[in-house]
Amino acid sequence: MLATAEFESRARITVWELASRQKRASIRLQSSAPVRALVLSPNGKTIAWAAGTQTNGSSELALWPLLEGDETVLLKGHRGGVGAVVFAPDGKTLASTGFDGTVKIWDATSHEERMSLPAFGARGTGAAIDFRPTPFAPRFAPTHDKRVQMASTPVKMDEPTGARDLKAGFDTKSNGVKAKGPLTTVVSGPRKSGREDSNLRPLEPHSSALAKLRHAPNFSRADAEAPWD
Amino acid sequence: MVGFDGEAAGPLCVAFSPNSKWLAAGGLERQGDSLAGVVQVWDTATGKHQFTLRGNKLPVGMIAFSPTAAC
Repeated sequence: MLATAEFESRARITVWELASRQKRASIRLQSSAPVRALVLSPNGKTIAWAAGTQTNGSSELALWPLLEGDETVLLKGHRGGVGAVVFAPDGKTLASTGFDGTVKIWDATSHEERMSLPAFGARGTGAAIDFRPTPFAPRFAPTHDKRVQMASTPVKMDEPTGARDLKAGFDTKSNGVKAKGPLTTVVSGPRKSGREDSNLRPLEPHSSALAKLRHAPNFSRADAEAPWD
Repeated sequence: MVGFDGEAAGPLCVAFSPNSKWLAAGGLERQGDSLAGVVQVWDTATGKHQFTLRGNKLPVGMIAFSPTAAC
């Protein structure tokens, strides 16, 4: 199965069967905002997308359970555009970030917002996000800070203290807008001790904002993509 | 190699299949007098074009394989 999103306003999301090479289903965004991210759940049964323009602009964070009818489920909570969304490897959790500077963690089944983290400060923007496989710790990149941050503390999603642990791991010094500051891309090695900070090290700097973030297949490192360098 | 023919036509996004066998590129192509969305899929080992998905009227700006896709 392959999913596509149109480049235009009120984009259509289409699902294609690769075996038959035919359209399987199609749905149109409710928002006029451009699609920023399109992902499928690990089991391939749910599509999620993030759309948004700016802080006070139109926005859409949605789930589309392919096997459960035609309805999309809107995940509401971000103020302003949503910049990125990703499924956790277990498929039960989603993380999103956007123009309101927060990282939000969602229950993919109940569609409830589990936590909202002031990750990038009031004027920051989250543009890319990814999970490490274990333990769950969102990794995300703000456009304005030109910096990749990651949680340094393991996050156990089932525990109410998870939010506090996650927040404690953020690099709070990078909050706010530092458009001309150095970009630091962090990579993480295998987790050897209780603290992951010791495994973080800076990578080469970029001169423009980050747009994408991706893991190496073995999850030993993450690379940020800055297409406007 | 099959590309995106014509001025103003071209790819906007790419994605590897889960086992890296295929590379898909989405974008727009000229169909008659107008431009329409298209997805082209290649075999990454041979470079051979596999198939084309047509049906999007508008440019394809984002593309994602299912993690369960057997390719």
